[in-house]
Order: sequence, then structure tokens, then C-alpha cells
Amino acid sequence: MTYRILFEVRGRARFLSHLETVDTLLSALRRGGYQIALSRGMRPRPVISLAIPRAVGVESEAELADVELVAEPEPEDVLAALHAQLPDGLIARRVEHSHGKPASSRLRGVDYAVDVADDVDWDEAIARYHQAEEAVVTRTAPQKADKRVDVKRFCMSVEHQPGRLLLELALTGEGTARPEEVVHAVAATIGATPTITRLVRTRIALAEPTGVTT
Amino acid sequence: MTSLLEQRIENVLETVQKPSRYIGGEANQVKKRQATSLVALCYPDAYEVGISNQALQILYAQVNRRERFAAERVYCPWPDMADAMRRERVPLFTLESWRPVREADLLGITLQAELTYSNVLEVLDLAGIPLRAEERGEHDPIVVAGGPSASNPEPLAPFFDAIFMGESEEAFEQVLDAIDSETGRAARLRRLSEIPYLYMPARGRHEVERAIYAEFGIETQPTRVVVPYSSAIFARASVEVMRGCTRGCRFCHAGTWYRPVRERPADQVIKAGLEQLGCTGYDELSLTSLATSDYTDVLPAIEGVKRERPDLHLSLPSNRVDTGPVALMAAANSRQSSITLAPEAATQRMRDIICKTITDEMIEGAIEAAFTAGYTSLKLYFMIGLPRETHEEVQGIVDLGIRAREIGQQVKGRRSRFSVHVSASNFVPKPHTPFQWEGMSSRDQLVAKQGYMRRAMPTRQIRLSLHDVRTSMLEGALARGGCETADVVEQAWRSGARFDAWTEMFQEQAWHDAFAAAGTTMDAEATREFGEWDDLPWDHVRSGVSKEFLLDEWWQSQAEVATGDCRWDGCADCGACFGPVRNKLVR
Repeated sequence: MTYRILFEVRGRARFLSHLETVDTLLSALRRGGYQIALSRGMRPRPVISLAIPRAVGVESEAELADVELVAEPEPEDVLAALHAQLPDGLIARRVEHSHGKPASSRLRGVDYAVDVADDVDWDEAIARYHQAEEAVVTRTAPQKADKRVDVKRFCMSVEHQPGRLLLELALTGEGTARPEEVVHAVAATIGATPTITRLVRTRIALAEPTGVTT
Repeated sequence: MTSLLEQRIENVLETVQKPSRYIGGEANQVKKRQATSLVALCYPDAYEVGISNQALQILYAQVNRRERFAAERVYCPWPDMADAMRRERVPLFTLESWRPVREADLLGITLQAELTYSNVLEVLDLAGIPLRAEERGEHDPIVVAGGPSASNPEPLAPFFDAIFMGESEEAFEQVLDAIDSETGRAARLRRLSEIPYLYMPARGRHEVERAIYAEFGIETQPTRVVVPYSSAIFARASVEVMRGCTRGCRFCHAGTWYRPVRERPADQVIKAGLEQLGCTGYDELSLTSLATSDYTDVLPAIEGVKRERPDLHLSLPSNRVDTGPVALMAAANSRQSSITLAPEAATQRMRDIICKTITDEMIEGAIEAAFTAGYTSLKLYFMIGLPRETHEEVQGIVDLGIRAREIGQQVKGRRSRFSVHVSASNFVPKPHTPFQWEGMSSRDQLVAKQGYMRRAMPTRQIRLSLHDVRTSMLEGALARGGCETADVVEQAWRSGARFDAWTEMFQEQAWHDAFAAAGTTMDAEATREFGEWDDLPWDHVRSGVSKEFLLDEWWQSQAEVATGDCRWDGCADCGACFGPVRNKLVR
């Protein structure tokens, strides 16, 4: 039986990598007494997928994991086990039966709340950002060539609240934008350099409303 | 509420690789807010190396059993983190509470390998603790070393207030009593100096005994061990089924240092293993010891665990090279595709010299049994540079690699997919062993032997891996060093040496310069031969095994005669047994 787990990543747990998060979830489920189903083939692996990798350092209110268990426990029992077994900073919020495709293959978008210093005139910057035809940033990565990305193609909305920007980003076949790229692109419209103090993923939007949505 | 220090730590973590090394909070960590004494337990290497160390897991549970004490873990920050900490003035902190290590009452540092010595100084410096014990003040923790490499305490002696010898389970209670009952650094040190298992460098060179835990196997071992984040090198449950080994391999430090043999009954192994699996969520259990196939209750232990958890990965490391142990390993873990056998030497002559009592027939039988059992990857482990080694011994390793491939082809067919992995490390003489008087092979000799093996070993279906000669020479120079070596370690660290066991971090020139500044060379120290009547730098450490026995074993090695195992072939009068301390086999 496959279960969809909605969980939060808070505080120091944000420094866990994607793989560490997966392993920590699996080990918590095993401590809770559940056997994880294994894939077929020469090298069987636990059947688990997180909807979308989370960058190290980013907190989340809305992570989604699909995991297949050998038995068919009640979702509330799985939730209780996760409450008891997950380490500091990983907090299970909901568990439901999951049917059909995993969340990772039905992604539509991801929302973020970005805490920023208010030494930038964000309302003016956002207005100019909306007026611009494009907002190009240079994406750098180790051992890869720099890449120019027009973040406007992927950013559905930007909203300013005191000390915070709320972003709605689309996940498309052509890629997506990173939240810090959008914030820098917005600030750049008025020649400012932003100070980001915290990044929180607030929602993962799926293409079809089945199972848990956030 | 986040303290200023916590905020600064978090800011630093935003900038480093693998920040999860420093966050703590893993399942089963113990956080005690009411404790009045803090004991910081440090493994001076990266988190993923240190987190799985069984000795520190035992000590962590032991300290935390005391109501007033909190044990908290510390590892050596990776250079990017260390540099950021120095830049942002963040002192070394414990994982559990992010408290500065300098606030601890006691800082315990385990010395598991000589190549972590520069990291000991890195840890002290990052903690803001003066490197030399004589420079410490009232508010500094008492810094205590332990672990197998402490058996020669001299190379690091000036950096420690005390150096603990042997097994902690019982004897370390006396250390905790001293910390608990006394206040003030001077009073605590005075009390510690009464413990026979503590070497107190400030008192000058004095005799010290090794603590031996006679009750091993009667108590249960810790089961609620900290579950590391996924990066640990050994992410699995483990139960120590047996301590000590009396096979008598003459190069083996552990073979002397952990005598006599004490076994844990199978029912306890099964109980501890299942409990630990439940508490940790691991899907693999390792039955650990220096030679698990020698454990007399091994079959009931395997059967008992398998009965409860049929699908479990069960691993039996460090086994004797023979058909029986191979069959055991195959039975324990049918899904494993690779197996490691350690003949150590490829010729009978050399195996007699090192007292590895196995024959060519046993080795070939074990290889055949491994391929027959379905293993597709066979790793053969050897040493080169052993005493009185000739070209025949090096050629023997090449020949045995080829023979293993032939056996694989015979068993599996010529077109089958399998591989033989020949691994050869460089022999490093260790204190408290029959080879403690021997010098290492020279750098040129080792390089030449490695070069020959690379040229002579076929590459089809055989992979050859050889240990870095540079780090082996350093290990050899440090392992048998005297008190003057401390200046070398400090100088090398000041020149940038740290994480010497990591090839990409090894600063060879810093070490050469440091030895030169001390008026010697790394190679001279590593290849130094001691005379049989010389006063050895570690002679004041009473391991329990007599120097006469070691000397006799050295002579036997020169005569190319192996010695029997006292479990089955009669007492060889090594001196390790006294009173309740003796070989305790389940069967």
C-alpha cells in the first residue's frame, strides 16, 4: 500500500540534504515497525519518492513523500509512528492512502515565502519587474557552464508583505526558477541587492487533486 | 529562543558543504537539560567517520547513565567549516546542545589512528583550549585521551591532562567519579592521578596499566545508539559478539591490546541485535569482533537472528580464511554479492613469519567456496613490506590474484561476470606487538614493490589497489614515536596539516618540514629499528602482555615458526590472564 506523507522541515533540519531527508524518513518508518516495500530487480531499493528535491538550507511547510509499505496500516497509525520517531525538525502533518501516479510526476508548481530585509523598496521593484519584458539572471553551478534564465517565464506571482516576499513558481518541462533568483531579479530592477534571511517552501501544487494537496 | 552563538553557527552553516555534519538532533541522541556536568566526547575526524564508532557509543551510553552527567558529541569540522568558524569567531560546539566545548568539564578524545593526530590539535584550537596541558587554566576542561592508539601515549602526551588505557566500561567510572566528587581543576587532576589506568603526563613518565573489562558478555551493550544521517560510512546496527583475539598475528596491535578473548552468549547477541534494529530502523546487522568466525556461538547467533528477521542483511566482518567461514558468511547474507578474505600474505613462509596460521589449501578452498556460494566480487587483502619480505612474497600476491581468477573461471565459467580485487596495504609496525622492534620498509622499497605489482598484475577481471606510501610512512613515524614527536605534530598542524588520512587533504610537505625542524626525517623515524634491550617509548604502559612474550614471538618470527592459539593449543604464557581476567568462551 502506498501512503502520501505531508511533512514539515524546520529549524536545523533544513540543513539535511534531499537524500538525507529520504533516509531519515525511511529509518523513522522502520523504527515505527513498518517494513518498506522494495523495488524489483538486481538491486532492490525502498519504494519512496519525494515530490521535488529541497535545496539544503530551505525550510518547508509542505513536503510530500510517497512511500510504499509492505503491510496496510491505517494512515493515522503511520502518522503517530512518524510523530514518535522523526528527529528534531522533521514534523509529519498528514498521512493518506495514495493512488495513481506519485506526486513527483504530477508537479505543477511550488510556492515560497522568502524573508528579506526591508532595505529595498520592494513595491517599486515588483512594479518594475511586472513592467519588464524579461528578467534574466545568470545561473552558476560547479563544473557547469553558466546559464542565462529568464525567471519571468516561471514566476507566476510575486507579492510583498512586510519583511517577506511570497512567490508562486511554475514547474514546467523547460524547467523552473529558483526563489532566490526571482528575488534577485526583482531587486535588480531598481539596482538593489537583496538580503535573504530565510527561505520557506509553503506549497507544492500537483496537477490533479488526488491524495493530499497542500 | 536562539542565542547569539546559535545564530552565528546557523549563519556559518549556510556557507559550508554538508552542514548536516554539525546539526545534531538525530534519532536516539540524548539531550539532558538538567545535567550539571558536561562530558564532550570527540572523534577527531569527520562526522561520517566518527559517528559509527562503537567505543564512543559505549562511552556515550555509559556517561549518560549518570543522572548528573550529559555526554555530548564532537567531531572535527571539515576544513571549510573550520575556516568559517575561525573567520566568524564561532568556537567548537557540541552537537546535542550547540554548547562551546570549552564549557565541558571533561573533553574525551578517542585516538583510533595515528593519522588523526593533527586533528586533535585542530579540535583543541577550534575549541579555544590551549594546546599544551601545562598552559590550561581553571576554566578549561580536563582533556583525556583514550582508544587503541593511546597505547603509545608519548607522541601526544603534552596535549593531554590524562591518557586512559584500555577498556572503558568499568574503569572509566573512576574518571567520572573524580569529576563528580571534586571541584576545581587541581583537585580533579589530583584525584585522577590516583587511578592506575590513567597516564598523567605532567607527572613525568610513570607506569600505567591497561584496564580490562572482565565482565564483557555479562552486561548488555547499548542498543539505543544514535542513528546518523545517511552519510555515515557504517550505517548499520552492530553487536560486539566477542572482544579480543588470540590468533597471535604478529603485526596486529588489536591482537595484543584486547586480550584475553571474551565472548557474549548467543542469546544476548540476538536480544541486543533485535533491540538495536528496532531502536535504529537499520536493515542490516553486523556481528563484530576481531575474527567473528572464531566466535564459538556464531551459528546459534546467526540462526537466532535469522529466525526473527529472515530478510535481514547480516554481516560477519573479519573472518578466518577457510571454507567454513565463507559458508557462514554466505548463509548469513545471501544477497551480498561481494566477499573479503584477508590472507595478509601469499606465501607459507611469510604467513609463518607473521603467524597467520592458514595454508595455501585453505586459501584456495575459501576462494572456491566463495565463488561456488554465488559471490561475484572477491576481495583479497594483503600487506607488503612485512619483515624479511623477499621478491617471492610480492610475486606470490600477484600469483594468488591470478590463481583466484582461475578458480573463478573454473567455478563460474570463463565468460561469467566476476571480479577479483587485490588490495595491498603497507605494513606499519605498531607498539605492543612482536614486530614493535622492526623498522618499516623504506619508501623506495615500498614504491618499487608497488610498481612491480602494477606491472605484473593482469588487469582483466583483476583490480589492484595499493595504499598510499606517503601516508603509511607518516603513520609509521608517529606510531612508535617518543615524547619528542609531539613537537613535530604541533609544527605540522601549525603548517596546515589536518585530515591526514584523507588523500586530498594530506599536506606531505608540512610533515617533512616539521620532522626536519626537529632534526630528523619522517623516513628515519618510520624505518627505525629498535634493539631488543632498548627502552621503548611505550615501555611504561602495561598492556598485560609481557615484553618477554613479545620478544619470544619476535624471535619465533625470525625462526619462521608460527605459534598456536591459546584457546585451543595451550597457554603460551603471554601474561594477559590474571584472576577473573581470562579467556571466556561460550562453548
